[in-house]
Amino acid sequence: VTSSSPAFRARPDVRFRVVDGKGVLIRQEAGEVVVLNPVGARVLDLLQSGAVLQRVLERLAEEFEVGAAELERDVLQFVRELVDAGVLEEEAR
Amino acid sequence: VGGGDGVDTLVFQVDARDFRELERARPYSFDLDYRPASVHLAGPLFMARLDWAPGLRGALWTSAVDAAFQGVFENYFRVLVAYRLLERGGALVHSAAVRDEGGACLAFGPSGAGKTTFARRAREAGATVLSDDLNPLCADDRTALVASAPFHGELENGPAPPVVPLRAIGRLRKAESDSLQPLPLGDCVASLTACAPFVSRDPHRAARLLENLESLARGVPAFELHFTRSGRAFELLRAASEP
Repeated sequence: VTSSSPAFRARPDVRFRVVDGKGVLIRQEAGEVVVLNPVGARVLDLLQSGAVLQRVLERLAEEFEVGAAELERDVLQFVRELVDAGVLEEEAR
Repeated sequence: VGGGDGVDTLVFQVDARDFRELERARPYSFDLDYRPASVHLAGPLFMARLDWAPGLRGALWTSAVDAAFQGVFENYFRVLVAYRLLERGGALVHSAAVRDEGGACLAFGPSGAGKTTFARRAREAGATVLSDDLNPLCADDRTALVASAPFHGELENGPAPPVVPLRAIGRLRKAESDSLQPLPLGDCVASLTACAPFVSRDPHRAARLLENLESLARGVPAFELHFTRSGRAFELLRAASEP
């Protein structure tokens, strides 16, 4: 996963809703429900709206007071974890 | 079964040879197949389906009679209730609910979390058990309610009006001492979702479940309830929810 990667989207068995800033994520095949912190919820919300990763980073930089390098590192790691966990998949283009 | 505001179900008695025997089939274990306009069930001695055409209706085929039929029907009925609640803005939740003059307290958690222990201690403290197993949550205008239902675990359900206002929610966690702390709405909705059978795995309707649970839980005080087997968890939850 790099910031130049194309868009990601939730896999078909994932349901997601932002509730008071936090993310409530259901992985239906695994029978799991996960809570995401506000930043994680925002990342997934932006990805779900169709934003490519670079655009997600730009939006988060506008919304949160954090250095660009730290933001990119953390977001890429988070997206990588979601891909590995079977929550996200890279969108075919 | 049903009519008017209820849900019609057609029940068909079929030959036992229509079903294949399974060696390790458990009475309350069955499979569900989720489709866009229907849900199909198959389990020991029965198959059933719910259809939206567009209103909800059901059909049940079984060779079971007498006591076995009751078990089969309860399997079907739990699923039916879950979906009926869903389409009316509610949800069915694995939980213990008790009531007193101030309303109902709902305690929930995964299997083994202590729902029956919570209900038993609450009953000893003077509350009435609505159910220590499964509780229907619904809403009237903007008030969350616990509805009475025939589901129970180890404890028999006490007498109850059709609905009781929900005054507090507690997520159970066994601990060395009794205490509680506020539970953020997002965490509450996530945990309730994990305790909502059938619908949380339905790819076509789980989004509605999240929406319903957020609406139901918003405005109801929710807490992480650390409790001991002999403690006062119910009293703590009741006291924390008093105006």
